[in-house]
Amino acid sequence: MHGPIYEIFSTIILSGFRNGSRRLRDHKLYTAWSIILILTVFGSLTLIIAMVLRNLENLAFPIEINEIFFFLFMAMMGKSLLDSYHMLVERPASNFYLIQPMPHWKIITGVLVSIMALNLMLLAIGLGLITMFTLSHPVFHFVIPPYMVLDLILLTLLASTTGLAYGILSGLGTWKRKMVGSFLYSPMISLVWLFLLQLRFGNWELVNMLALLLLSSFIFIPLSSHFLLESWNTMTSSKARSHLQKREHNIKKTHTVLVKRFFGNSVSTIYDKEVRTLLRRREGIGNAITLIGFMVFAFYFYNQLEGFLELPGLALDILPIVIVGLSLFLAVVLLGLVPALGIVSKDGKNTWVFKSMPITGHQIIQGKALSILLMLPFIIVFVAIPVPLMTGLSATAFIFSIMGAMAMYMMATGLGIWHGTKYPNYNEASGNAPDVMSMYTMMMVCLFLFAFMLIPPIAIAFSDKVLGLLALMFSLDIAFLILVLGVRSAGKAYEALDLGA
Amino acid sequence: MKRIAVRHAIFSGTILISHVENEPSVIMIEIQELFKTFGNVKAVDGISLKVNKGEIFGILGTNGAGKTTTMKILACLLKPTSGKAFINGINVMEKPIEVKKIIGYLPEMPSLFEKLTGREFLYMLGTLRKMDIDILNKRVDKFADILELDGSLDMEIGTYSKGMRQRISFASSILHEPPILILDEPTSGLDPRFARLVKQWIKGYVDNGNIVLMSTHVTEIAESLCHRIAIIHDGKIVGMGTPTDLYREVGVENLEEAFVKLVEQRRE
Repeated sequence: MHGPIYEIFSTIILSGFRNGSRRLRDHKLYTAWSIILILTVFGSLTLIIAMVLRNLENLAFPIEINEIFFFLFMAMMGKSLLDSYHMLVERPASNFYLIQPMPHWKIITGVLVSIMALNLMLLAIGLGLITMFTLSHPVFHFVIPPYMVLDLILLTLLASTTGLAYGILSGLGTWKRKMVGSFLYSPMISLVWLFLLQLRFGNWELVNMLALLLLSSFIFIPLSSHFLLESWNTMTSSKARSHLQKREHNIKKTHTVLVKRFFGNSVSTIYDKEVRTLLRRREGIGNAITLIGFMVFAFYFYNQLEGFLELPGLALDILPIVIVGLSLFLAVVLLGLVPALGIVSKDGKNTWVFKSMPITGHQIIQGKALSILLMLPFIIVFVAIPVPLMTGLSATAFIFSIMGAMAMYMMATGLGIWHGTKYPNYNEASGNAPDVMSMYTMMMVCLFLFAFMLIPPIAIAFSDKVLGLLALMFSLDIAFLILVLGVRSAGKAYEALDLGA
Repeated sequence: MKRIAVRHAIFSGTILISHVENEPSVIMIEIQELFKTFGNVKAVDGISLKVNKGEIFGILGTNGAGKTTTMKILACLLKPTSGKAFINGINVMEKPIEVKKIIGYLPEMPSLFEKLTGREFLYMLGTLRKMDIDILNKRVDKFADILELDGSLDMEIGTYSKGMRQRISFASSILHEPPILILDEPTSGLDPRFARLVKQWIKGYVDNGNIVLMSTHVTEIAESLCHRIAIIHDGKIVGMGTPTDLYREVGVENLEEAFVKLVEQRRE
């Protein structure tokens, strides 16, 4: 007999392992590709970090090692927050933990230990890859000092506790309580920021301070056990919200009327349902926050690299374009590709509703695709226009940025819709979210496609703006074609979709 | 009306006799040698049956017998591994949209769009079925009234109780008043009052010449409601006929005993 903490921990780890094994077993050809992809992406990232670390003192690089550590802490915290939702707070099956005769802090500890173990595993893979690079060639030679390894371990554990804390506190019953709870825990992030970037501790001093911070963060466990039940109840049940509707069911919204006019009644009905759901799930707010996040990221990145831009040479011309391209790529992936990949699977068990209607798969996908395309104007307003403005690019660059955003968005959405319908990921444990491997794969495909379709027009524009613009218009046409073909193929794939027994 | 005995139709389902004497039988649903496998598991193993106009046909079986899979194939939600299925003479694999126009389908434990209100959900389905708006308005009001949903029709479905979800799903399957209704456990999750209401409604519905194909694992419901029954076990039909004929043939006193005996025979 083991204690409850161990039982919860082993259940989570075993379920995760079986989920992963099943996915690999079901997609055998995918397995090799997945491993290559993970190692390439993860390896590239760690390689860049290793090289930055090695050349830190030689280069006048404007990013400090502790800044990288802070970004890693934030990323790990975000991952832990999502993990806490999936493993505990948003999971209806958590009632089997909650009804057991044991204090809630044991449940929280069991989940926390699981999140910590998974995060430490990721860290170990990263450190292992850096070791491999170090041993492979003298160019990559960089020995991570022990205090830095300890810093990383402590930050990983701290990020796990902080992420879980935010997972529980952000699920409280009212917005006021959510805000108060989150603000109460925010000093933890501020202290990490202070310790890493402001107080300039010595190497071992920092280790000690982070260890103290980690110990003090454990106070959260008994404190939060009072909120777990409230948070779980809020996140797993719907509030009694009513929406009065006109009896005639006349849809008055301009965009819906336009869709009805151009695509017909069936498509506009599905589009209307998707938009309503998007707004009521507050996905719109989430998307707006994401866009604002991009703006902050771009500003920060630009300010950090400003010193670099003063350097003579090609960097002066290329770096602003890279910043615009990177911002657009991230926005398009998060607001176009990812929703498109979940176009069918997010309906989950509700898929029977549309499947049992006398309409074609093409009409269903068209309606859903149009609701995703609704995000395009927001990307243009919040990313494609302000980022070139901020980096001081010319008027031509504005047009390129807008048209480029349109082309990237259409290509990513078209590919995502096709892939998401052909290989939907019905996995309730992850909220029917797109499969991580599909996301990585399609991101890579999009990156390649964007480079192939957009770099030539930009290169031409350096010598002839008009010709460059014409070339971009051609790329835009191709992007539209990809979207149309993606929707059409997805329609066929939707019709071929079996709903299981 | 005098019912005609069905004998030796068991296993084959090919003998076609109307439950109503002297009425020419019009086949509305026909399944021929239907197979469906999931990996190594045979969910449906060579089922053949026919359902006539004006008939309530019940599929009775244990959990995992293949009832839901058969109904999903008929509702065009699942493709069979082999075999054919026809609804009103239309092949469900070849013309699914034509089939969907004339059927209403209620799944077992229906999952619904939680963020839509009940009214929005019904209007969405009515619009997708291209129903006339005046008729749709009347039907929504009518079913909301009958199923006592009128007070909660403007609330998000996510807030509905299990019974309310079942009622709104039932309303969605009969909204367009289809001639053929496929109901997977229609009384599941309903309190006795609404279960009785649904049963009465089904009886009245077939009296107008429509047909209902329903699955259940409750023998009392099958016995009191269905004109004919097919008992399924492990994906195969182990008995088919009117309830009375079924238990007489097996030599027992009621359908429950007949069901148990037929399933046990099959297991042996």
